[in-house]
Amino acid sequence: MNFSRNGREKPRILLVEDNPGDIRLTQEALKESHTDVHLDVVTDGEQAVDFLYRRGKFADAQRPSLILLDLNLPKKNGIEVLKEIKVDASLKKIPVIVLTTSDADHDINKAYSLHANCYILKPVDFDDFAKVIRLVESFWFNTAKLTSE
Amino acid sequence: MIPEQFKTFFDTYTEAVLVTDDADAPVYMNAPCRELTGFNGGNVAAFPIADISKVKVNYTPANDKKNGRWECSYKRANGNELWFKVSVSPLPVDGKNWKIYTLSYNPAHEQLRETLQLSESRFTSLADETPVMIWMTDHTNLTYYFNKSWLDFTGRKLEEEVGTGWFQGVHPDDTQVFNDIGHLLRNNINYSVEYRLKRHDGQYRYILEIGTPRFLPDGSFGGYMGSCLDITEMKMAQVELAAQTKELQRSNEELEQFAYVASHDLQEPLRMISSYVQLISKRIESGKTEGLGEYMQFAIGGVNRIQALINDLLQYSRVNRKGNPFAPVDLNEVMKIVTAHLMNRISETGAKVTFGEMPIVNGDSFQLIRLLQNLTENAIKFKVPDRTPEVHVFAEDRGDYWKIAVKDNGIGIDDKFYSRIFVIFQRLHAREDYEGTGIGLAVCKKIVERHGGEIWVESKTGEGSTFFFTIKK
Repeated sequence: MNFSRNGREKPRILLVEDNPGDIRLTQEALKESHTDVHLDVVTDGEQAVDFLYRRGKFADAQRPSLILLDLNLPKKNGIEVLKEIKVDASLKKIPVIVLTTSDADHDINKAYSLHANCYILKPVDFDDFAKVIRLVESFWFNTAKLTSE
Repeated sequence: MIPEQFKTFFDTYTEAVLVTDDADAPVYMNAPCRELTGFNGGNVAAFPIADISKVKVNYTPANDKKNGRWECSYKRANGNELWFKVSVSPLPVDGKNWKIYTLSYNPAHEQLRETLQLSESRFTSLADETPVMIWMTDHTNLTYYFNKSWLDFTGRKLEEEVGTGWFQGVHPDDTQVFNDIGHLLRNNINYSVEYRLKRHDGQYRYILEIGTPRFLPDGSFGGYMGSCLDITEMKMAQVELAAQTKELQRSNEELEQFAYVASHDLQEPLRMISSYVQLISKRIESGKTEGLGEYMQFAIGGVNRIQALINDLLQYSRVNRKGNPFAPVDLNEVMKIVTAHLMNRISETGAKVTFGEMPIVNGDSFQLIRLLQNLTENAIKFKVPDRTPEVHVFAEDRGDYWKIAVKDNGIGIDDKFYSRIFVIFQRLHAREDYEGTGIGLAVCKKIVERHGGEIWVESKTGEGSTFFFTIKK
């Protein structure tokens, strides 16, 4: 178990993202923020589902406090992943932040219909990207109260 | 024999009366009738009764309340024709069904007859001149008239078509349409149907038929009149139009999907370039230069990716737009070119690329090179680490088409992804594992479809995949 400096359990973020550049950007953005979080990364939709259900090589995976989900993913896309998360009695309580380049209405609508907790467009600029990550962290980890069950 | 009392009665009658027996054979006529008809034969049974029941104009059939009535033209024994009004009433006596015909003649009727004959001949010539096929039925819905257009179309004689004879020409699969309108026919309502009718040359043509009921002056049903048009050309045009509309819809959908994914997939590398350039400049400003090389790689990666995407998108959009006309293409030559193009890949990976006896097919040589190159390149690319890629391309003769196979010993594909892989921008692997734009197989599918074939994959995870496509001979 990882503990942060103030002794509380570190919040865990699961990043579902296939682009190594975006993974790195997220890591950079988290580095710049003040909240201490643990980041797990999976690079396709199937791995995301396996991770959450602790299957195969993810048997020891820990339940994330928050999921950052890209939509355009290999094997299983983000929408399919979202569908599987939100029908599970336990997993559906984990906030899912869709983080994507798609500003198509049907994607936004679909994501919220499937109970995504938030839909964010990936900013083009790094500073804006870092800001978004900071806002997400500050809202979900410092303002909102989450359940760990 | 007619009862004597009737005879006495009708003998004093001033109107022309004719009596027939159960079989409608004349048994008696009075003097006015002899005078009117000019019949002077000794045996009344010889009177041509059919002549006065033949042409039924202004026909009102008999019922419980009314006598049957009609008008007809009758040729007298001396040769001149007269216009008769005929009325018939049943007379059941002693278990026999006599019929009493009353005939009357009015010189004014002559005018009517001429008008009628004129109108009849006008109708006939009009009906015969029109390209529309026309028929008429009597009140029992049996057809008694077909115009020339109909008879010319079916190439049959009027005698063959009357009654229900015409029905033999209806396509067996279409006879049901007449059952479907049965309720309309029974209630004497307008209808319109489409069916196929055999033409004189044996070809079935699509017919549009409109049926309109005719009513007699007393309001009773007199039969249907039908007009029919050969709508085969229109029908074909409709089918053509539907196909074009469908193709347009498909291409619109493809365009929409294209615009959507293109904006998404093109934005991603742009974001990479802009974000990492920004990170680099921040690092330089703050004097911290560690990790710059890695940031640079991401920025360059973005540039390369945009380039690859643009190239692949061009390829994809050119399949239909910039295709060359089909010509005979020797696939042995194609495979030689493909292996030459892939020389670097092959030597880097140590891959063994072989091909069997390939056929000559009809197609677009540039596209067939692209097709086999994409498939062969994939076969090398998706290799199992530490296993030398082996790719074998071969052809099978399937009668009227060739089945071409590209077989590898690579990582294979789970069967749930068999159709997804051919959709543009759909990828199965994270980029760090297998680089690609997700366009290659979509291009292959488009090329195969342009050549009128099909493409599919059969695979066993971990053992390899075989991509098949068909191409017409």
